Amino acid sequence: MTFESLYIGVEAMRASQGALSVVGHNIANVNTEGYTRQRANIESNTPMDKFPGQMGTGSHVEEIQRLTDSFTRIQLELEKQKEGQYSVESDILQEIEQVLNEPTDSGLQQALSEFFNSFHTLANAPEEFGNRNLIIEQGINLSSKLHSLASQLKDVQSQADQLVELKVNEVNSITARIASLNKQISSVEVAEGQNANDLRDARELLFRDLNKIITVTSYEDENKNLFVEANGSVLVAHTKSVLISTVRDVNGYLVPADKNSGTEIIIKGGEFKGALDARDIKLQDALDSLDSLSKNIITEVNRIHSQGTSLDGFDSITGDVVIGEPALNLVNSGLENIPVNGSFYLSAFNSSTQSLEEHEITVDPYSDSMNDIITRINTAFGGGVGVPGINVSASLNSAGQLEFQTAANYKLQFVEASTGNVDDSDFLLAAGVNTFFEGDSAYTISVKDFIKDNANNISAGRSLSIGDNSNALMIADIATQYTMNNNQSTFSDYYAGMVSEVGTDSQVAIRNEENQESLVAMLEERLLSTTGVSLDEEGANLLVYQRMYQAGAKFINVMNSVLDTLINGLV
Amino acid sequence: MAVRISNLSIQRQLINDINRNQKAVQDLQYKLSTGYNINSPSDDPVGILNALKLKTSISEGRQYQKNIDYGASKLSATINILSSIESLVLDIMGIASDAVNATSSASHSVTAQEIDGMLNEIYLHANAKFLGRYVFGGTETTTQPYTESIVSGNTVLIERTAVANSVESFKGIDGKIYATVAEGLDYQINISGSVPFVPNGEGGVNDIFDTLINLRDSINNHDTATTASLIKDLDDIYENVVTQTTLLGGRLNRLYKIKDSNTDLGIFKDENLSNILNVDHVKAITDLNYQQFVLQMSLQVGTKMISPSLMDYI
Repeated sequence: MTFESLYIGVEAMRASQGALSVVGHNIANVNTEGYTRQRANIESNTPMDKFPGQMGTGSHVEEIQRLTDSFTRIQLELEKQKEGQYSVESDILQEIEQVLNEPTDSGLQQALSEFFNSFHTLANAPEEFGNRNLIIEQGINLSSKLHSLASQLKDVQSQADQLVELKVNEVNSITARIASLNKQISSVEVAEGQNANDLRDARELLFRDLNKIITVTSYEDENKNLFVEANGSVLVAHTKSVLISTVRDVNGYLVPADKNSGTEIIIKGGEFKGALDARDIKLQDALDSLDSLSKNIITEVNRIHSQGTSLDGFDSITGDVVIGEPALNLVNSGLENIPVNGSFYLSAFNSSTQSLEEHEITVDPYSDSMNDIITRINTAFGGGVGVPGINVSASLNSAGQLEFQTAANYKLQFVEASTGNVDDSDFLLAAGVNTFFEGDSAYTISVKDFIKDNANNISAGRSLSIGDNSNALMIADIATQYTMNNNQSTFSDYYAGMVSEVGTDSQVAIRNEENQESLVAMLEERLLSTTGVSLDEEGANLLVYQRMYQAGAKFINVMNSVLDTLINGLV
Repeated sequence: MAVRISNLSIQRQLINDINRNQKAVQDLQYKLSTGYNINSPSDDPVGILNALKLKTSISEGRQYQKNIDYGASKLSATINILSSIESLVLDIMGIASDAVNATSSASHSVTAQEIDGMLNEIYLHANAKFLGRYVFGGTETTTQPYTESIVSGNTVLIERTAVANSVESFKGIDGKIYATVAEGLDYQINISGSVPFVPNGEGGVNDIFDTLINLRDSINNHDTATTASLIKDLDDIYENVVTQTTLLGGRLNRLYKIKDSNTDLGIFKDENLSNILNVDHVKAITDLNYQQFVLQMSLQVGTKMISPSLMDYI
């Protein structure tokens, strides 16, 4: 009993020192991301059985406890998945908006207007060579605008691919660290029986970051190892992480997959989901719309253009469409545009004798093959099966394209000069003869060389007359025709609709992102209200434990003087 | 549960608030510096839809105005030429009537020469060009529509070229040239080249050249009876030219009316587009001032909130 009271003082000083270290640790981590404040739980020591009763023996730090809020933490992990998803989605959608570059005077809308307006300009003076060159320029401008839109959208797509790759690496780095933390936590908590507070903080923060990237589920086993799975694919088991990598899906895009088996991981949320959705749905939609717009521009302009006449007529002309199966009927011969029942016309004009030979060639796509039509043309011009016509002959070249040749001094035009009849069978369109554009997508549309090399080949009229502007007017009029969306909108309307749709998607994504950010901020706030360090609180604790230390020392001092009285006073 | 406020949470909240206020200020500054209310489609997806449609429609409208200007100048030029022909025919009728009453053979020959000169003038008018293109050539704008051949000494015969495909509707001297002057409205901006001069074909009734050649020769030959009947024919020819001039005048008027209504529509569309796209400066500047005030407040409050803690006092 005599000296034991001194130890009570020592115990008090030791406990308060321990508590002071915890206070210091908290203060040191006041700004640490993911830090959970700790508390030194001081308990009284086991008392001694003495007369007249149990006598206390001081206190000690029983454990250093983390003050966390698991309920909010789990909620936060879930909301982080959506935050990641929305933020990537809105980033990508905003990039699409930037690519579209509307409303400015350099967007596609302007290029479309200028292209069709240039046909009005030609109509006002079809004889002017400059007006024809203007059309070529505007046609090139329109197609390069479409190219650059398509390629910029593709760039955004490959950026999304790169993001997937990047995030896969991030996931691997996070899971590796979780696995290594599993090992440390297990050794601290299971082997040494202590709380691995800071290690748990680190693991929870990593798991939260992982949730931002990919939807994962987890559980902790009896060895305190955190098991992590992403929709059935194991990412962390025991103290090992399983690497993921990327594979190309059916559309050629990168998706996360198990590295060993190569099986795609089904993505339910997180930044992966945002990137994959924006890339595979929104971006693809924009690209598809652009392609469908381009395809329709090509077809509609080509249809009218092929019905008209060039300024000079042709010595020879070759279509740009390769006829896959010239022996089968036109419906089955592999044509992009299938002709309809009708006729097209061939006029051969001899400028020196002023003589005109013209023929109507009927087309029935269900019974006529390309070979039949060629024979019909040759027969009309005085030839026959395998025998070329005299003034005009038709054949398939080695590449399988339809080709017309004329006799010397004869110029070929595709109208019936005497009546003004033009192709109503779409045959010329189908064979790509006397057309303006080539290609079939935003990526491939371009003004044909046949036009670029000779501006006189632009069809301004529908007769052999130089001042005839009727075809130019009809092409210009396409701009106001309802050619898209099952004949419900013009090219411009369709494009405006597409831009507006991207705008709506982007607006929704931005709002989602903002809402989610404030939801996450609110949850973080709530979590911080339990786990965050308050300097006021620590200051108060600092004083409490400082006093405790001082009092313990004082107590020793007092006990010392008591003993002094006992030892020195009595002797 | 008592609310604990940790230092990290004060700091985060403050940064969030300041960021939000700063973004609001930046958005307004961006709007003011570009002058546009909509800077990307997501700013106003419905607005951008209407704006793009309006832009297309405005661009089309401007093109229609250009087409009208071109068509109107072409029609005016045609009308001017026809008016000159009108007065020439009137003059010829006058001097021819005088010649019928005059008995002097010398004066007949002078009148005949005078008519010949005026006939030549009409012939030149028939081959007039506008912007380098023949006015009465139909769609054959680069081929001279009427040619002359001199048969003997002072006799001038005028013949028309046989234009190869003049039978076609789109072809040759009667070929029509249109311009689109409003959406879906194509307007003829030329006149069939044969109508004012040979309305019933070459050598047919009211052939202005045949009639005048015959008149000139009959006066020269003192054939009073033929002269008198030819003057009667000239009456019809005059009527024809006047009718054509009036028709074209009416067409020109109509064109100006369309132009006016296009202009009105254009102004309306411009205003509409401006309402959608352009920023309302008064509102934006007021908003900006307010937002800047809020930002400054949040910064000031922030500095006050961050500093004090118990640590300052122990």
